[in-house]
Amino acid sequence: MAETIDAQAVLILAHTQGQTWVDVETAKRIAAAATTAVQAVAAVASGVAAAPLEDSALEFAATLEALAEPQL
Amino acid sequence: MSAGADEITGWSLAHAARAVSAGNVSSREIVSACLARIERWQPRIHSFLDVFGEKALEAADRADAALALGRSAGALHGVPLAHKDMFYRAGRVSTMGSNAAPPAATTTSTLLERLDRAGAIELGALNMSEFALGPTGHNASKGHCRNPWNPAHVACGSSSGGGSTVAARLAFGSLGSDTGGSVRLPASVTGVLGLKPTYGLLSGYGMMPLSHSADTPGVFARTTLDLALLLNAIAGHDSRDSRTSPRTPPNYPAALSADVRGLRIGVPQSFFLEQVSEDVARAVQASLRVFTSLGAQVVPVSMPDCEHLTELSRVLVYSEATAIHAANLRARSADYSPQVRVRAATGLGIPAPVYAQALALRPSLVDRFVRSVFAQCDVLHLPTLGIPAPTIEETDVGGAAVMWEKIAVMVRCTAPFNYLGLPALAVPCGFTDNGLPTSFQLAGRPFAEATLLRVAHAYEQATDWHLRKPELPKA
Repeated sequence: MAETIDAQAVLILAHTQGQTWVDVETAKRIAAAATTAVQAVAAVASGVAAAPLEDSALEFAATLEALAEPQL
Repeated sequence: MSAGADEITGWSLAHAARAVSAGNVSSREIVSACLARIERWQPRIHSFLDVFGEKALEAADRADAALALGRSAGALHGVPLAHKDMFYRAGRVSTMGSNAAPPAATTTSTLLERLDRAGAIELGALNMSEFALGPTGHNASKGHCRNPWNPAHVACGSSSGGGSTVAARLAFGSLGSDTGGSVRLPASVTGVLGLKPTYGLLSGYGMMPLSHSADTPGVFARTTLDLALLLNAIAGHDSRDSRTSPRTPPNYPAALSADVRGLRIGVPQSFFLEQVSEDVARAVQASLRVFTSLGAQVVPVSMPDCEHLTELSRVLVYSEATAIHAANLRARSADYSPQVRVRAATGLGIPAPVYAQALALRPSLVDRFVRSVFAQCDVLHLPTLGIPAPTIEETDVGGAAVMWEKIAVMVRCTAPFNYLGLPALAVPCGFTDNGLPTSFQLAGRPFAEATLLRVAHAYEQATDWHLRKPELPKA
């Protein structure tokens, strides 16, 4: 995936949310980091089953319990 | 004073607790010895943001008076500890390593309450990366915490003060927090043990939130028994934190007595051993030979794809951190240091559906990881930090774009376990070519802390890395 998140879009999003201190340079850095993160999720999501959104936190805790090492 | 101050501060936590309990030394003597040592070390390493000298001595006197009446508070009676400055105590300001921190807390963290009940004494508040945002330990707002082995080098972070304080023998143990490696990395570069427990073992109530999905309180100590004693005092369900597990924790010190014969120590065959420097690899490899000599089986482990776990972790951390900091950033952005401001705002660029997916994928990914890896081994053995501890100057990158690359290198072996919620323990195993400590990391199934401690204990009995300590230059 060659596309990157547009720094200008990040700048507008930031200012819309009242984060007026975000300048063009900051927006570029945020956009670069966010692009990598978004790409990672896209890469994983295609091959892994996702939990129902409303249950994801509960299901994560239940999964940890289910996979726990047996007590000594 | 029957023992000298330097001798006292060199004791393990377990030894100190026994000595107080037996009446061989008073809590006041121990606290005084630590305070005197802090005075000597603080100018060199700046590991404390505040020292509670008078209050600690008053608490020590109360502990001594109670003991004289035959009343012991518990396993940590009269023993001084110090914690990352983000565990709230009612009426006190936790700076969170920042000039943009909120006012005094109105509540006390569950973990501090549990340590109080066990009789521990709080010596002071420890330095940390500003708002726990950063693995190097830099803090432009409060001053950098420095590595006691060489103050030109980072102490790592974000719990920078925890590793430095425990390594320099200024306190007998410490609470930190670990959202991407923030306990294990400082432990690794200062030569002490650092535990990130399973998500849900320790209560996060009253601990500064960074990312409720990835935050885990963690513990620093110098020996496995010390770590086990601390864990015994603080582990377990908390009705004030819905993330905590309902299970009853085991007796951690009791678990140390078992040996490791026949235990399968797994060596990952991909990802975690890539991008590891020669000197770190040498030390980590040597530790495997120790396990073999102890009768454990060292086995290769075919790994599931771990390539994106760190980034998935970042999606959670940065999305949640930005939401948590949004109001403060709007009102007080100038009070944040520039690089921390950028990190705190990174979630502004992450779309909400992507964040939701990162959460929803987690149960399947941890299920796949645990079923695959722990079918092949009992514990996974890997580096903690794949590079030697860098200097402060080398990693002083401000808000520059290269910052993300530096961070990615540092958390490569640690952050995946935050996303997966699994326990991981950094164990000192030698020194890199620059003379700084390094460690291996043990990771296990959920709630396998007792097994990790047992394995680390066996290693500790066969080696002396945990006994090495940094020295102040001769005057």
